[in-house]
Amino acid sequence: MNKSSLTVSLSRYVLAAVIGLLVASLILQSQGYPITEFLSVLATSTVGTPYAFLDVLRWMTPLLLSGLAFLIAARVGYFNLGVEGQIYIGSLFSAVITHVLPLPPVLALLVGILAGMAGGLIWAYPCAWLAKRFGVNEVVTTLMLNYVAVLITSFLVKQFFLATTVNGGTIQTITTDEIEANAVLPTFTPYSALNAGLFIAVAVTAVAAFVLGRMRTGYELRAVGEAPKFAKYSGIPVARRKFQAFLVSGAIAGLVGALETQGVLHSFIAGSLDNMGFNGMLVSLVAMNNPIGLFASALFFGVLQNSQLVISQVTTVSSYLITVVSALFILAFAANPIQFIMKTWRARRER
Amino acid sequence: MSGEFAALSAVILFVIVSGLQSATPIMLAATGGAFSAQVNVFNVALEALLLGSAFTSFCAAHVTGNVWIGLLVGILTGVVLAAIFAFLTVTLGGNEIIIGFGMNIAVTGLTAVLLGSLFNSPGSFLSPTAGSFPMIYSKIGWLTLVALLLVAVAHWHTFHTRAGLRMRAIGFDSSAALAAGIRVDAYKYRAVIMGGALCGIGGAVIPLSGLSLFSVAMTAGMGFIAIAAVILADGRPILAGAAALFFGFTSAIGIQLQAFGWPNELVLALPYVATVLALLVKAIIGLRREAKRRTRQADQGQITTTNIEVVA
Repeated sequence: MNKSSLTVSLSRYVLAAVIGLLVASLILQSQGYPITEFLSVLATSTVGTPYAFLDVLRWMTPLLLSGLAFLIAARVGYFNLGVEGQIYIGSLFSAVITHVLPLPPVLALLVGILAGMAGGLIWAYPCAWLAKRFGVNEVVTTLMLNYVAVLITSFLVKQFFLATTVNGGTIQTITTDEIEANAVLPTFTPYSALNAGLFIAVAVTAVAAFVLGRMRTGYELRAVGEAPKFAKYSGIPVARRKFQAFLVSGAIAGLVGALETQGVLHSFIAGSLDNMGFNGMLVSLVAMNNPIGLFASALFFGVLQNSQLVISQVTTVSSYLITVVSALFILAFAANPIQFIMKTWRARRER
Repeated sequence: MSGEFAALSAVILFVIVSGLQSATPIMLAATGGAFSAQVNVFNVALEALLLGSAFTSFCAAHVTGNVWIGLLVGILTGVVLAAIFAFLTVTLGGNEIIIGFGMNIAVTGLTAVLLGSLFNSPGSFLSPTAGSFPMIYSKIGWLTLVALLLVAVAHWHTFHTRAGLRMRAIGFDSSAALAAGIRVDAYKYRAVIMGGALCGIGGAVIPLSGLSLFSVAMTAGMGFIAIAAVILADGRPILAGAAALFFGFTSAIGIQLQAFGWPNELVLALPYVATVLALLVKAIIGLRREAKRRTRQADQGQITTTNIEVVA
């Protein structure tokens, strides 16, 4: 990449960051805080306490994999907006299996993870099949199944898996029983929820990056996504590859759910997985659907995610402010005003 | 015998009334979205338009005590947000799904932040001063009639006006339309903004019908269901309105089923499942039509190398 196009790409990120930062700071200022408040919140959430950065890494785990799930589907041209729901189902599957089956240490862990991946894959299956067999637009079907996933997991837990409290009373939130100790992913310190799931997430992403970048399957997926007719004439089974990619995307989303259940929550807790899917989509978009870029992007969004808690602790402003920042960042990034300005400037010069 | 008949007719009445009420915002959003679909703009931001208008109309009605001012402000918000969407996608060339989805997230977050900051009541806020739209019968408001009327007006616009013809031309082949002298970008803006105005009305209906309440993410996917209705209708206003009505009725049927003992969550999931099934049915019909067209063309000897589609 030559120097000018590198600066153009970088400036795209910088502009988006500036816009997000500016709007957040302005909103905070309108509530009576100093204009630098947002910056100080960001600083606190990264290095404010000795364990802040560990928490950032804790958030990086689901964000990385969720972004990977979206990315794999995007490679073949599918917008898997159903990652959200697939995470829910994966989390429930993992929580139930690891609670019900008593297994030796490593096996319990693996079974839970596989159960989670199976759950995500199963939830992605209808959308993938409808898209493959009938050409049904996957954007709407995946979105609809998100809502159904939240509702159906609530229902299943309330009906069959609701946790029982020690003295036999009923629990207030929709939670399942604690999972077996053998299935729990160990944490590093008691002060942070960061757990061994991070290693799994990094490993899976690294493997995926290798497959997508250097192996034949990755090449085929990219061909299917960018030039389907060429791919078909090359002998690549286009419909089947797209279908498989969609299912893998769902499986990885399920993995996110499993890692959250086994690493942090130790059960299924409705409402604790909110927005992980959508944030993962943002992570992937910011990484320009490049698997190597996912690491940096997930780190960035991990900082944002951690600052969500800080905002609600330190200010009276709703933690949704971070949602606004992420969304504005994506909008500024996707709309790419710099490219537009440069294009019109060049066109005007040539006239 | 008459007792059962009375019970049944009460159920049917409830389904119709409740269905019309829940369908109204979806109908308006779907009709608005139909305009975007006619010019080939995949307007995924309908949810954002609905939610944003819902919030601003609620605030305006709360401050002034007048729901009609709320309606006006809602329409304005819909227009402004739609203009932003059009600018980001048509002029700046951003991907419609990403921009639309980004706007959805942005508006959800922004309304949540403002809800907390302005009313000091995070989560939801019940307004004592906002009031609600006048009802004709039980829970069917005048705006429901307006919505039905607008569907008819949209149909007239699409198929019986010159502007509608041009929009359809753009949707069919935008390069040809451009070559014919139609200002494609201007019409795209126009389509999206018209849709935004309709979503503005739809958004105003949500918090101000009965309960003067606004809660975070109040639209709960209505915008996405409207998008599904638009896809089902291929941009045709009457079909889009009908699809929206259908989805509204599934919500109402669901609530009735709750009375028969169906579990709460499964009933709430009904409209979403119905949407997926409806899309499936449409896809099957589409495939059948395509197959029929192919055999007809083959019979008439019209298959050439150019119109054999490589179906991947």
